[in-house]
Amino acid sequence: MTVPSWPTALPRPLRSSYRASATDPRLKRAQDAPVPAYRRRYSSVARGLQLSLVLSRAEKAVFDKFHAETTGFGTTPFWMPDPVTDGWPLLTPEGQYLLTPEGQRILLSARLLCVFGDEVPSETLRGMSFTVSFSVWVMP
Amino acid sequence: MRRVSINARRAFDAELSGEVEVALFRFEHASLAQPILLSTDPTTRISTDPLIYGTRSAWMGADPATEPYLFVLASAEIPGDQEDAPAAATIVLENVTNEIAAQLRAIRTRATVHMAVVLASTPDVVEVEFRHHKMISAEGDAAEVSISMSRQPIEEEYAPMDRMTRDRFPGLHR
Repeated sequence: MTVPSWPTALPRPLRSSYRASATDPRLKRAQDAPVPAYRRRYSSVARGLQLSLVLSRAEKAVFDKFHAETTGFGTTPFWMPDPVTDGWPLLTPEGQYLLTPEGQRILLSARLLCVFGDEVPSETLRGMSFTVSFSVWVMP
Repeated sequence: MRRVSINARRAFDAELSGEVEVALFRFEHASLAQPILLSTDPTTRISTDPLIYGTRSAWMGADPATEPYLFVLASAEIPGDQEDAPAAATIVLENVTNEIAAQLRAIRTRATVHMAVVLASTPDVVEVEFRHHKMISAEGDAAEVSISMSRQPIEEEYAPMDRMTRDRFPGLHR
């Protein structure tokens, strides 16, 4: 069994509904103390991502098959391109594109090991396209 | 006297501390080919396929590269120092599969349990260590399994040790 990869046929997630949140690996010491004090509970934690995709009918079938069959309704992990790193151009500190000798932009590449989050994917229909919203946990 | 590293003592006293205390367990039994190594902290990702987390520690001669302490979602209570009770430890496992109960029912003789507390940043430095405990009982319901470890109960010793047979106590059987 190999870890499945995110289908390359699917478009990039929407920028407007992207949301990342951390989980809290801490324990608070005294709940009623005027000064909070924390200590670590676990040394590595997952990170939550909320993503939305605008999909055509054919792409929705790809997504549904990936969710239901490939990952078993979100029970197995999968590799996913990092939505805020993968495919973004590499920049100099001044904000200029770094180019190859042929003049192509150098793109960043990163992938995350994810599982589907606590909320199962939901979809809405607008016009001829589906907006699928889902959350994933990025495994440490 | 128990030796505790200076880093651990600083972490105990600090108001805010980023150190994580990890309890390591080592279960040994005659029917096990290898000891079971468990940890309560997902310190590092051991493997991606299948997805396994664990702690790499050299405690009790385990090879960190090949014998990691595997992460289980468990809460542990290390042995206390009460005066009139034997030092007892408890580990509470989430009962995620029925196989846990089947495994526990299959045990006939007591397993030996060693436990240690280390810091996640220095997994090779043992802060507290409790060795040679016996697995006394395992009780559970549908949600969780509670395994308690303690010394061999002295109440199970025969007293008086000798049996009142004709050979040993002929006066009784006159």
